Amino acid sequence: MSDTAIELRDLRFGYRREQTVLAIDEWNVPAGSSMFLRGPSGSGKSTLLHLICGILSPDAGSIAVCGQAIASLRGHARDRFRARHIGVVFQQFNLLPYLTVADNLRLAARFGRSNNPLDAKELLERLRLPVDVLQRQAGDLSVGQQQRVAIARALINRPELLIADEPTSALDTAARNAFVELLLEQAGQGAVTVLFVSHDSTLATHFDSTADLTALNTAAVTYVD
Amino acid sequence: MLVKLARASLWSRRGTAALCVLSIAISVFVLLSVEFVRQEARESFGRTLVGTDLIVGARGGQLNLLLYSVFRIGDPTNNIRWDSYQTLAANPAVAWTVPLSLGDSHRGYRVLGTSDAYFTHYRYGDDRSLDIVEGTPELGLQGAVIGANVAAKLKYSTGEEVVLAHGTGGVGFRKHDDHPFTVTGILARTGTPVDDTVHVSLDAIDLIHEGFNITSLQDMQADRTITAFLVGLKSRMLAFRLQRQINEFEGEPLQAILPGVALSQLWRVLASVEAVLRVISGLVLLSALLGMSTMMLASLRERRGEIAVLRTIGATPLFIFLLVEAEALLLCLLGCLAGMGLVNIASLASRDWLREVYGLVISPYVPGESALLILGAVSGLALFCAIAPAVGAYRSALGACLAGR
Repeated sequence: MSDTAIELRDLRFGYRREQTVLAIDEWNVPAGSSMFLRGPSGSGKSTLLHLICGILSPDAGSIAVCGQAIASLRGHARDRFRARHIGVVFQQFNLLPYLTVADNLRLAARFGRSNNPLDAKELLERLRLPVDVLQRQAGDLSVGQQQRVAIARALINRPELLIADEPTSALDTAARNAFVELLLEQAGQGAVTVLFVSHDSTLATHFDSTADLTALNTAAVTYVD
Repeated sequence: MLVKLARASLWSRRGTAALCVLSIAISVFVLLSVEFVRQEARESFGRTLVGTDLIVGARGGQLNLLLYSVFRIGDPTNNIRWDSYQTLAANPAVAWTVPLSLGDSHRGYRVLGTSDAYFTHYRYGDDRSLDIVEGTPELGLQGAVIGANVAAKLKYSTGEEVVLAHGTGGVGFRKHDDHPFTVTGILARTGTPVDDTVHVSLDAIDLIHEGFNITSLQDMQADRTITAFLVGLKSRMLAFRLQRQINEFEGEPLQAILPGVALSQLWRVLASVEAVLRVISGLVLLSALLGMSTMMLASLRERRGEIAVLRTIGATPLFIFLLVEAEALLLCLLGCLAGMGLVNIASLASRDWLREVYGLVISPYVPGESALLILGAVSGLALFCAIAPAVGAYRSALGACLAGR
């Protein structure tokens, strides 16, 4: 296990040739810490997350996630690495609405090929969800409940890294802080590194450290996503 | 996992999915029906008359003679004089003959004037003879032996009086009610037009047409005519020779046909119609599958979130591709099953009608080997048609899709 959960070096990426939208010379996230990455829309936030998750490949430079140079993995292995080592929580639509919560969690465990996934029931209890949500269709839950199930889904394979991309923007202010605390508490129990991306600076106080993508990204072009 | 996911995903879009299944079901129904009716028609026609070497009638179309004499479809063009019949029946090559006289009806069922030889020599199916379930197969002057359907539909039993009508319409315009018949026998079900026939003797036919002012049967037979007759030969090898002799018969213009040859001529005529039907049903199927493909392509946009979730938790783009293909396969299988069910229901529902109108006896549809073949072909075509949406999903999975918003 490496000391840095995320390590970027001389990263360059553009969707089109001659048009770099993301350029980061050096950035580290220490393992086991929680990082708040502030970035307004258009700052290349999504692009960066896609690169870290291995969905996009950089044009130049290196990305290491938990010591693994993710770009050097082949497509299939990259998908498996993501399933096993990275948990992701989005703004919304984290779950397949037509499956039950139990099946959503099971599916994530299957893709992660984890031989030791967390117990779904216990995980939901820890997230203060009633146990009966397991058998309910994910689409029938409230947004707040869905977001908490999303944390469970992200943590079920005991990942080293948890990425949260504006997970609170669909929640009201009161729920927001509670959600962030719950997320950090659950991640802390498994010593999971947290990368939390948001434009809402008021949440930054919950985290160990803070970074600003507009400062990190030295690319001249702004990409609107 | 793939199948379970495909099933759940389709269920979440069950409205459009059901329409897809329906359109595939209908096209499979058309495809299978054409195939089924073709097979059943051959089967049914082929088993209606066996053991008869030649059918003799007035000169005209081969097919026409076969259709009116055996299948009771259409009407004879001309008749055979009784003395011609007797001359030919006396030919040393001939083992037996059965005279047939058509033209009357009883409440919509054809009346066949014949001789007792009919019940000994008529063979159908696997060389089976006509069985009697009630009474005796004796015609006499007043007796009528009725087929199983006539008995069942008109609720006749032996001893019942029946009145024949001239002509073959549903309701004859002239009734021979001065000469009622008595049902003497009821035949067992054969699955051939025999079931829908009322059999009486040739003498009786003449009697009702001539009235009772005939002095003797000999007089009556002198100017009797019949419609056709069946010939059994002492040796099959003689069929062609006798056929030629009959075709060159000097007394009057006659023709003899070999039932098998005439039937194969019928199939040749129908083959081009079948080919056209098959092409049309194939095109209907193709358009149904393209409809499915269109539906799937259209739904890709709203499924981007779904694809993103799957990608996030580690599904490969190949998995996404296969998911769309699995959905297409599921829709297609459901459609095929529904289509087969429809053919089965339709075959049961149309049985009586086909038998009564076309003399076509079909068995209920049971998916067989050809159905499996069609199923395979349709599945293959469905997989092919789903390539476009599957590739779309694959590309959507490759791109930056973790947006989740």
